[in-house]
Amino acid sequence: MENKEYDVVIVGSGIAGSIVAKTLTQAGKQVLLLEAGLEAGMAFDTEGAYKNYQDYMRSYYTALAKVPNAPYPDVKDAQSPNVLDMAQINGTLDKGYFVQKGKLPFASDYARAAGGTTLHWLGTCLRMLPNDFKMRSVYGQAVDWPINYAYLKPYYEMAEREIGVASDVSDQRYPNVGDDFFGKEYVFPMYKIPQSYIDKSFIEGLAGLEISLNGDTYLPWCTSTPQGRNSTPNEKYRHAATVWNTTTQKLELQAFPKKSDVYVPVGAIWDPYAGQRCEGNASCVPICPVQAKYNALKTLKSAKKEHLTLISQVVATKINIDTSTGNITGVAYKKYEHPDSKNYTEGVAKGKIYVLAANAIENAKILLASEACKNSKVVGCNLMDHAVLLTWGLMKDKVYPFRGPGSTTNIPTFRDGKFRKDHAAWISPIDNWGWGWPTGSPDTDLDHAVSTLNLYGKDLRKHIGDQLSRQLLLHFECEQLPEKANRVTIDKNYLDNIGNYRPVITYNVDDYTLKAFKASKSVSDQIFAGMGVQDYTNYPSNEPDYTTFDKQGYVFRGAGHVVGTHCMGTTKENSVVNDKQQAWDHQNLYLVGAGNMATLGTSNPTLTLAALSFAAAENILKALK
Amino acid sequence: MDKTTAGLNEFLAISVPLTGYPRISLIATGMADAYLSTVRRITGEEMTNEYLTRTAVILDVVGGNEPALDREIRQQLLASLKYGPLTRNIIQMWYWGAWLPLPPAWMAKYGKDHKGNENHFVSPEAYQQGLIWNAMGSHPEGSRQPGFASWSIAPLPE
Repeated sequence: MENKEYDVVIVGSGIAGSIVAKTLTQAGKQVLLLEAGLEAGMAFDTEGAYKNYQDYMRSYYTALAKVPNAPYPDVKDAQSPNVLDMAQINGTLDKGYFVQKGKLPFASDYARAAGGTTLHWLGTCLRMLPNDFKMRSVYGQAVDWPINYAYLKPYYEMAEREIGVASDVSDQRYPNVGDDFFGKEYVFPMYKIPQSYIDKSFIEGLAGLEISLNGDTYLPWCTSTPQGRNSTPNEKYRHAATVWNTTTQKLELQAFPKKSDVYVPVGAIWDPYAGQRCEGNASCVPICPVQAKYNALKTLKSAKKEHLTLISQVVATKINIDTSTGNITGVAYKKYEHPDSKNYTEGVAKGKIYVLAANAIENAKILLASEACKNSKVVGCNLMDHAVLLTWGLMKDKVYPFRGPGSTTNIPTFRDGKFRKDHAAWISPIDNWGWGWPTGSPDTDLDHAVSTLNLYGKDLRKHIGDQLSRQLLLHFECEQLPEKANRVTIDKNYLDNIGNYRPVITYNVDDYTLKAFKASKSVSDQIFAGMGVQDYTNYPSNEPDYTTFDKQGYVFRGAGHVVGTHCMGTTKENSVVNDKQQAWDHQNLYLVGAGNMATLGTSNPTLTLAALSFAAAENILKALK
Repeated sequence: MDKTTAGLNEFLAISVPLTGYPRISLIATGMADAYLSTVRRITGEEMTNEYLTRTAVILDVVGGNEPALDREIRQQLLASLKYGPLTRNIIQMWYWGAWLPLPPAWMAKYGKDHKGNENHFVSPEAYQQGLIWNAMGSHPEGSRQPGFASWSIAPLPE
């Protein structure tokens, strides 16, 4: 790759990098894709891909804590953060990969591996709401985006095709959206994923329940959750592919050539007939054994091979800048031979255009190490995540959790409303996996039953059957506003195995979000009382993200929604990229991924970052003409 | 009977009342041998044989009398400082597939210098064969998938 100049050099093979790579190669451009993780995940020969994935499965089965990164190799030369390392701070700065310096630890992770974090995402595919793009003008909070919902809508449709989203438009009901939220007669590629047995019981219990909040009364409702996992194709869906139209200079959704054509679910990368439907493995996070859940390797596999050069074990360290023009002249990298050795070779990859798609935190690290995008003074700032408050209890009747996809229904009622002038909005997914997240169930319940309740034999079996089958878990995923102080920085005192910077993170949660903890806990209390749920929620003060507000203690968790750090904006002083996702300071540099998001809203960010990646690819193609 | 399967009948016999599952369900997991081997490896031959002899005597003396069996299991096994921790480990191994670390004091006194007393799944299969999943009306997460849309109905009664 040393001697070749590509049209585009992309750093990172997660969903953003893969969408850009696929779109550009299919439009005939020569692309070099650099991946920091191992080659193994990208083994597209059938046997190699299958064998590699079975290794992941074995690691998953034997992992004591089945956390998001548990199945995947722990590579010292391209380390991934791990949620098991998110200790309370108390002077401990550097447990694991992140160096945590804030008041609270940042408790989300990502995967530095081929396919990126889509290897272990849940697959929830919600669009942002129109008001999420204009928080300043509507609610006097944070900033407005330089683009709006209407701009992103066609790209959302491209993203939904790429991921293969399963949902029914008819039961998608959100606050403060018009009839035009989805296009006229729009359908998703596949029908909705069937809602769980828990959901049905919950929906019945919630029906008609009046909730008081801030002196107002709400009648909350439930909506099935759109998901990136294979369901039954919708025969009304008519889009075959996203293609570059050289005449209009736009990306367009192309119709199927024949009326009889229907959408075909994309199966496992080693076998198109595997994973054609979700089989209910109930392990979407951290790993779908059959790849019925979308991951970015599927997108990468459909890139045009002859136009794609893909190199793994290459960690981008820095971008080189021509100081006279501001243009990027190359990506400097370190290529390691063995995952944990200190040996590496150095090189520079060259292209006409450069795309950083290495996750919000890694992108910020590379920019900071390069002293790039300096005009804005906000590189690395505005790190955001959904602060997830969990509440849990026992339903009156058996609902049989630990089955099916992680979540199939949510309460969207509090995703938008006038309360956002005062506190954060949130979405409430109903969880299908019992108390696994907050308490480590089911084995912790087993240990309690055997060691504390002194149960054994038939009594133990009956107890497990009675208790674990009634577990209910609700999430309250509260939005966080962009704050300059919540940021990623670099420090030469904190380097990794091959001398690259580790992310130094300063993080806290402000009153806007803390007020939403109080409000959502009150909503949870009312729901539990109204449905006769025995509340087992507790927030111990020794948990990593324990915090207090208005004399009450709360424990929140990271959602894995790593957003901000190179936000999109209206001027080169207030933002890192413009509305084209092009760096203000460097004409041939595009940043993609959730790092561009100016505010967070209440949707899981992957669908939005996928839509933004299509928009970025279109802008790059225009610039390359 | 070769060395690896010695005591397997006794191990299965006491595992039936300890787990609440019939012998055929325990055999069907395919894990009995591996669990007994794990006990032997970590607590030693002597302790394992002593334990199996003790449990065989209990089962023999009480015969099919369930209240008597419950009393003997509680008094002679669960309440015993010597056999209690091991009994609870065997129950949890059947239910979850993992070995839990026995207390250091117990290992020092009864486990001699044997190694491997850390928290670990016996094997990938052990995780998948845990009895807990069936007991709660589910299946091991990531394995033995019940099929599309199965999660939207109640599990079939056993």
